[in-house]
Amino acid sequence: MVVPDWSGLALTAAMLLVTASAAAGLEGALAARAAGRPARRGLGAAWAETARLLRQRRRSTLAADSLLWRAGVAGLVVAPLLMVAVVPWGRTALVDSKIGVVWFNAADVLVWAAVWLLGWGPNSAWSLVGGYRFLAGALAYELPLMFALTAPGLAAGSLRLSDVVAAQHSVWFVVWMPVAFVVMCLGVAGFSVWGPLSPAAGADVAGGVLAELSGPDRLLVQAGRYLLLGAGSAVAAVLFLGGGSGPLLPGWAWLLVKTVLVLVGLVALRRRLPLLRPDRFMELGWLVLLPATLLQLLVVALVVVGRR
Amino acid sequence: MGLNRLLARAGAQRLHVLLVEGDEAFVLRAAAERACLARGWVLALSPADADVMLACRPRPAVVSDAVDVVFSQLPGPRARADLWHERHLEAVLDQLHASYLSWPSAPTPGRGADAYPEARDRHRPGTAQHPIAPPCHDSHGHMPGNGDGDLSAPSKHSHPSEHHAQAAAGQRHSATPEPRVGPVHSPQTQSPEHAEHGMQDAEKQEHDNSGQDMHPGHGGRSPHDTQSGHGDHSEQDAHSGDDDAENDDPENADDMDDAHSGHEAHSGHDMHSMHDMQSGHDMNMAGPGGVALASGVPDRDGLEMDRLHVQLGPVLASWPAGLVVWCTLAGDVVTQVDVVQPAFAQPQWAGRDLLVAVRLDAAAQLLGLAGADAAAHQVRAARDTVLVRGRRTATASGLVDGLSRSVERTPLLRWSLRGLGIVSAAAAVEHGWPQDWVGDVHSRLLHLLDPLAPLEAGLVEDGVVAGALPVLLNGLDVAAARLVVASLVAQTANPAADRIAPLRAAR
Repeated sequence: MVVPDWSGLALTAAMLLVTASAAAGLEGALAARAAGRPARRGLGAAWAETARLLRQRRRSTLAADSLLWRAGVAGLVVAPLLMVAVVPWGRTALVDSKIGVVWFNAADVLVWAAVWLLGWGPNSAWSLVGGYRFLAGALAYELPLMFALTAPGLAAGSLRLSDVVAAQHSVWFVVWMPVAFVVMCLGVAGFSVWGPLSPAAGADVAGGVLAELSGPDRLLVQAGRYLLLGAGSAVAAVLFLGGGSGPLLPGWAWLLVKTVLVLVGLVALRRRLPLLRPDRFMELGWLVLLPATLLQLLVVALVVVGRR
Repeated sequence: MGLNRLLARAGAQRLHVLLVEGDEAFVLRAAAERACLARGWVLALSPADADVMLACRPRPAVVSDAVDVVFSQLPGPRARADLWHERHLEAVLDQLHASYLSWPSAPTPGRGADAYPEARDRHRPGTAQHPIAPPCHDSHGHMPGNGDGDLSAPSKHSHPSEHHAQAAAGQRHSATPEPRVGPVHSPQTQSPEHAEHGMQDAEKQEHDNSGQDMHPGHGGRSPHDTQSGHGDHSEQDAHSGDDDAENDDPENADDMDDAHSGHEAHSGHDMHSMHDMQSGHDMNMAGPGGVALASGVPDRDGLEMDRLHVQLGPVLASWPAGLVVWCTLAGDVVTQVDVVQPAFAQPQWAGRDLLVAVRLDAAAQLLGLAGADAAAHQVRAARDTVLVRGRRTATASGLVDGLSRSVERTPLLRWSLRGLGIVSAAAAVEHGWPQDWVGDVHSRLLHLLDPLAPLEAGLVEDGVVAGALPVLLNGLDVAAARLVVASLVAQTANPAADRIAPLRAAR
């Protein structure tokens, strides 16, 4: 009989909620400032959207595949919850898995299915095109992301996230794995359908996978994107920024600070960069990111062997 | 109820508005866009995303019909309004806001219509041209709209093929007559109207007795009545009041949802054109809901892809006003393009200020499609300055000059747009395309942003754009095709004389 770790669960849930809300608030503030209105007014934009969508009716389309459509909606919320479960917020993680890195990777691949089902479900051309575009983009970011994830594991000699944090006590991995860190951040943007990597939900395809979503479904999908952003940033902070280690403050506070730093970067990125069209991003992914990540992995492997 | 009001008030801060631009409504749409954004509202990308719909001069019939059908696809709470003159803009937006807040209870009868005389007789020209069809309360009479905050005319049903082939001709398959606005109507249209009324009342009675929620034609009529605000139809008004009470009833909420999706299914049938996959005119095999399944077709790479038929426009965000294109897609690649209706062009004599603003607007839309939101916002601000204070002021303030350079300096944008929709100088000469178009999407974007660009180079005969689209769009993915469309801006060189007066009035 396993005794559930209630305090760990509460901490993990609270952290995820705080980071996702921070991302949503920051995005609202930046959007308001860009539109020439006071940034303060934009802080609450996400809450106004929430209220709006809670009141909105659910709308269906002709011959929609409701089951798969809803499964896609749910998947975008479940995946980030699975991701943060292995993040060591306190002394240990909610689920201190031996294979935490692989677990995270599996959860991010779950997003593939979720976004594709969002595109498939409503029986709508725009949504379907959005789904296609997500898969095209995913083919470009996923492989580099997988290799980037193995770098910290290789250096720490373990796939357990708390071991990876422990291995960074002298120097953060970002210092000697900058390429892997950048690819990781790109991957987080990718599976969160965020900013330059959001052609699946782009204005050029009328919102793509979001085109037919309304009411609570849309709310869950939009919230899921922020949750994914938060969860991905937390894992990036654990893998590359030393996780919860730091002076004075408790571990969870340090991890929160670092997570928010990564989030700020990702949110600011969105405002600065245009959409990367999938065909162009495919070139970048396979011709630049993949070789660069493999080189990074080679360097890490050589260092690990040299230390022995 | 208290919670509902709280949510409504919070949500109303960020209303998502679906803007539609009719013929000669460019200035009006730009003003509406500006006013909506200033209120903190958001421009919706699709009907499902929208709370309110604002149609700027929704005419000709192809636009107003599309507006009616697309409005039926808004999830609700929803409200719509037609805008005919800039001086009513703020009042119309206030009214949309109020209807959104009070949804599903209908607005006070009479109020809205009285405030905007133009809005009331919006269908008068249409009525004059196309005599009212005899009422047909058959199975086609299903009216979208559930007695919610629809501010204007009812939706009309039209068969997809009809919509495709005859919408431009303004043919309507209407179960309800044109708006009955009583005193405003001319005498010759009044008598059939009243006959209709009698008939409707009878129907209403029947509806009351049968107690069916989804009586054909029911939903379309009641908002309509509340808009026209007939004092003498207290019975109907009372009835719509009943409806509202029902809608508030939580037990009925589910029924309403079901009814709504039923509606959607139906309007999907009308309008899959807009947003659904379907098999278009050559449909020969009925699938679920009477819409054929997508058939497979070999892609250019030899892979079998879904063949989809999509109608682009006239209600589509960041799409040239009036342009209606039927596309056949293999997966997401455009394989066939039929231009049903060319975009509304700005006439030659429109004045340099207006033409510069049109070009800046196209650039802003293109940047928005490319995901460069910050740049799009900058360009939109420049467009508004040109429209409000004139080109000279805008140029003097440096607003316009820097745009081209700052866009040119964005390497990612260049990387993303270069090489798209290439038009060679030889091809331009061969097809009679304007010299403006030579280059790719990126060079055309820079050209649109150049305040000193010779506008004469963009003058073309009517129909040139319509002829160019099939040539330029084939083989592109649909998103790239939209970027190319946004980059092709042309002024027609031979404006019809009767268009002069309305445009002057609009300015």
